[in-house]
Amino acid sequence: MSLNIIGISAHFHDSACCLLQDGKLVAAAQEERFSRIKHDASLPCSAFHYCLREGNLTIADLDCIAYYEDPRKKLERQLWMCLPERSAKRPEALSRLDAGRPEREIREMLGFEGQIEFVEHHQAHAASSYYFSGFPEAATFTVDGVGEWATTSYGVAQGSDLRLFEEVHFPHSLGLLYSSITAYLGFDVNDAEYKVMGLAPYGEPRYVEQLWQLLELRENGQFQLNMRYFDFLSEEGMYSEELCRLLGREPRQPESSLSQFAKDVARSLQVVLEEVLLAKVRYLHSRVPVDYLCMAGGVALNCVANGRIRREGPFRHLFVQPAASDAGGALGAATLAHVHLSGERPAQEPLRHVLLGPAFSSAEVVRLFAASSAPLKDFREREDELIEATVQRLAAGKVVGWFQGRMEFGPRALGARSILADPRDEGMRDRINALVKKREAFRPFAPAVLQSRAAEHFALSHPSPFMLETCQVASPLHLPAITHVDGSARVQTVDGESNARFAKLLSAFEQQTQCPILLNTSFNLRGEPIVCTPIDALLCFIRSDLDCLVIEDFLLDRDDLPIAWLDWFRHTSPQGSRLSRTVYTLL
Amino acid sequence: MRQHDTAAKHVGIWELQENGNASHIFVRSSAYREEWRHWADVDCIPAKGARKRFVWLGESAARGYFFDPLCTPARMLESLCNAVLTEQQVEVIDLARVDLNLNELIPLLASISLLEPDGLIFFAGNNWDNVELKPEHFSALAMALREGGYPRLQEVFQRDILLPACAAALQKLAEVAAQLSIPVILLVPEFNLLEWRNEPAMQVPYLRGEGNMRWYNAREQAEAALVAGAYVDAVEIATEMVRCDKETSSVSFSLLATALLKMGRIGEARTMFERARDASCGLLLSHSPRCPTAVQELLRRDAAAHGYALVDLPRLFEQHLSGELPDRRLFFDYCHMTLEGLTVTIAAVANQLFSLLKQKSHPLQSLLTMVDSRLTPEDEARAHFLAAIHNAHYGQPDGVLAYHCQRSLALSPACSTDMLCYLDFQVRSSPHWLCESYTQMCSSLAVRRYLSANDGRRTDKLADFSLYQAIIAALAHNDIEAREAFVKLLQAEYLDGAQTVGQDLLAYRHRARTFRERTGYSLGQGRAYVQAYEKRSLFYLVVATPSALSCQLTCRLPGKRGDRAGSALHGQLEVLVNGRSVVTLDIAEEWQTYTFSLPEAALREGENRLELLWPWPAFSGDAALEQDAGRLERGSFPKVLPVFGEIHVFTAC
Repeated sequence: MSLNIIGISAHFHDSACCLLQDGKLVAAAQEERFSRIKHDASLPCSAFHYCLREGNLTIADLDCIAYYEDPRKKLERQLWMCLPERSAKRPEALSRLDAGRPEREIREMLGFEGQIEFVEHHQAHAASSYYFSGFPEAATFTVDGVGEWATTSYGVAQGSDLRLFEEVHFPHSLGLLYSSITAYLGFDVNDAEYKVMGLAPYGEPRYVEQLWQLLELRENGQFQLNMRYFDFLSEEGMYSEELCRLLGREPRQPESSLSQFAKDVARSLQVVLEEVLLAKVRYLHSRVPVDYLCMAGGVALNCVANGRIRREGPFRHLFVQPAASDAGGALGAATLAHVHLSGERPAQEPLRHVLLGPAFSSAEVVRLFAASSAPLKDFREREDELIEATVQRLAAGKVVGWFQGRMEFGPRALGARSILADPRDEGMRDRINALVKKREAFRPFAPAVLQSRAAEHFALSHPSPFMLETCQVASPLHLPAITHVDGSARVQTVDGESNARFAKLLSAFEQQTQCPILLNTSFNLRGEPIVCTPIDALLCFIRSDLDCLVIEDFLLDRDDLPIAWLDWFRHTSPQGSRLSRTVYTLL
Repeated sequence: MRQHDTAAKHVGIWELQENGNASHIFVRSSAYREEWRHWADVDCIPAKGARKRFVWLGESAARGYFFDPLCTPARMLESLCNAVLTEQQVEVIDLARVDLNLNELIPLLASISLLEPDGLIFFAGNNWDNVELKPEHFSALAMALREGGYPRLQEVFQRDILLPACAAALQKLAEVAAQLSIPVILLVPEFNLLEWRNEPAMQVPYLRGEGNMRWYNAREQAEAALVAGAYVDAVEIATEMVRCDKETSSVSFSLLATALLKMGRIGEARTMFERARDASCGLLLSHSPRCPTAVQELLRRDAAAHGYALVDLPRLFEQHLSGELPDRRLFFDYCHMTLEGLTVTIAAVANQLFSLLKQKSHPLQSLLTMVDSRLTPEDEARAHFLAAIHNAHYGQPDGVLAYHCQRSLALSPACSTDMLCYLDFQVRSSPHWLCESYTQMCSSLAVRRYLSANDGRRTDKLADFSLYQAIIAALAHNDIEAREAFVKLLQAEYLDGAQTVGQDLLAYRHRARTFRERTGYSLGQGRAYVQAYEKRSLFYLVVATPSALSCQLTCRLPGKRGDRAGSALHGQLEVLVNGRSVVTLDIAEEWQTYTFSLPEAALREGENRLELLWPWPAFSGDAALEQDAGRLERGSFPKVLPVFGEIHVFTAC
């Protein structure tokens, strides 16, 4: 009899669901991929259905659903924030003060009658990293905006045991610090923090001194934000007028041009963040002097900081859980429930890949296109020819939508739902930003490289399968499309074991071009979740300026798109986010 | 309307083109590209010239739904006016928008001055029931529900939420008219009283105590009495149903009205049909658009108070039909008008317009002959076919679907091509826009608008089997054999890939006959399982060559132990195939998975009707109402309707 546990994160942002069967991660997906609402926070009904289907289970087969937060503790913090006056000012916020919501919705919306386990938010983050690291023991370090009270945690793990021994509490939060500056720079919080990270290399660290005034490092793992510069207790905004005075400028208007000042602030913020993280990692090592560090939480998606922690930090090995933000909390909740129910450590093996979402067979693609006039090129049973045809297009400067196998879990496209292009092309970055993804021009792109060739092109001594750290480009090739302005790149290493077809594509591209690297970016348009189904991919293909779409064993060139499809969908946009764009909804 | 640069001057989807001179030309903006299909299909609103400019405002009924953009009421009106008027020409600017709600109406009204109109024609009210609730509304509704169940909630909704919201929109209309010193022609919407019925699953909300069971029993008796021709008994029983549900069920009023009509008491029947229409409003359920009596009366009072010219469609249509009830002669569906309905409406509006322009009015009958829609029989045929699709997706009876399909072919046999196209792309699992047959059908602009590729709601694949039958029968009547190819395609599409995993009978195309059957009737969030709102749940199973099939069903009875009035924690679920009982299962309140087989003899090639007959639900109405009140207090929407059974998995292999 298997032990079937569903893990859920929901009700804040990026809701997700995963299935753990006898400790093995069988399926995981974010709700946004199904609902097509970016950062969808609602209870993940569709992802739940998918997980059951993938595990060949019915709801009656489930032993437990684990939820990634303790709603009662969260309510304590929410009440602390809003009582007494804000509850009257914002009556709509009252409905969010609802510790019963997770259980009620799990019962009502999912229909689950069995045991529900609630785990603490940072416990879930820490567990999501440690139990999938494959490490025998580890120090855990989790950093995000906020969960219940904790915003940062320090822990120790060995075997099946995981214990957090210190926390930093709200409102002192590195995640909220980063989000506040993100908002000040005119970007969407809870979404565009990575844009600020990408903007940083364009700037100079001219405002480091000012930004250090925003927080004070304290002894042990502690730090405090200087709350005169922040306003996230008001729900009106993230930062105060004091911050504007400190930096000497008004906040940037969204979508306005990016000044050197904005770039310098981004760079300064990145410098301060890295210094804080390094200091706290050193502290953690002093408390837990082991070789292994496991990180999670939204701030752990800061791949530039991760690179420095690996290079300059005291730990020899680092594992960052690839869905490090709240979506990954589902994994942590499920693993903690597994330990609780079985007494054993789940997932003994390290996580090799995150291809945990739905897949679509070639037969399904055939059926989909059967009644259309689109001349789909069929390469079934001819994989080599499919690869060759794709490589020809890439080498000719075409941009390819690449849809293969199971969808990735987490924010990164890793060769299952990717847009690929030749990284040697001088104009490729601008073209993809402007015409394909329709996003800001400064945004960098990441490379995917054959694992066996990585060291020849990047200052990287270890596998980086999840694109979670940056390193310097050290290639004999000129790679302008994936080299950031500071000479860095956010590398994904690819091996044949975890993604065979993608590795074959990279090999074939190398054979033809002597370049074992492809530009790899997520298969979506601005404001849209990464594509999930062949239909999502096709619509994204039509709406964008992609040259070619490869779905499983089939290839479709833009020139072959029926005119009617272009007529119906060009200049239309996918459904956008329904979440707050300027502030965290901390209540 | 989505957020856009508020600094830009725009009216609807048209933005002011700055050309340096004083003339105001508005050009359709690509920023609103996705909304174009909801508005008039015109690129440009020209600068005002010598003609008297009237702005035509309204919702889908005012767009000429199913005819749009081939023919629109605004164009019909302009054409009629200019055909009749000799000294003065008129232009009608079409600002009607499909799905226009109160929130969008007010800013639209505020922008109208940019067009420098000489008059306004206001034809709205069908979408006003869909008010966006504020946090304080939820609290008030929760309190009302606790005080007096759904009847009280309905009353509070109408009095404190709906009517004030409508009054605010009308106040804005008055302000705009006063500011511009222009006259207004106001239309009171009418409804297809005789024929439109709510979807079958919308029976009755939770009632106090054991009210629901009494109501279900009475309904069976009333329907039996009607079938038996015992109309006096039917009136008595239906009246008792109305007392039981306290006027919250359209079904009760419809049964009562039908019985009265059979007895020739047409005046009383009209009133009861109106109350059937009104009974769904304010229950916080998703239902088809309509303008309830209270809003109609508000419109009339407002027109009188402000001196607007009034076109009272209920009165007009009653006159036009010589006292008969409005039906398919005037309406395609609930509120969208046929060519006859539009013609009568436009003639009446034109007469009011002539009066405003101090021109002589004309006998309505003479104007009727002058209204020129410029529609071909083929256009009208197509509108009937679109209406058949629309009616099917709102759960209307087979007879209505058959009528529209037959009428379509009678008007134009060429419409058979559209029907064959529809059979092709709707049976396929691919989105319709991927199918060549859809592209072919889209050669008509009206089809392209109604079945827009961008509208996911319209384009989900539903269990359209009633419509398929209506189409196939109508084609057969015209000597076009479609069934064989249909069954072949059905088998290919439903069975390909299903040999191993089975047919997922919970997929929309196996079970959802209507838009709302996809995710339920509550306005709240959906669930990860299917809830049955009727005693009988219907699924369509496709078979190639009949042979025994194995079914897997994970289901339960709804509710929790504490919610139940009695001890009925178990019940019997009967499974029928094509009307033949094949197995009875003992089911409980916990999820359980049952495996059973469907015998070869019960199955037939093509589509098969697989029915689950649930036990009567055992619940405490008081507990259910308290739970719904709790939902409202938390800012969520209530369940409203009792549930008979819940299904997590249902497959056939």
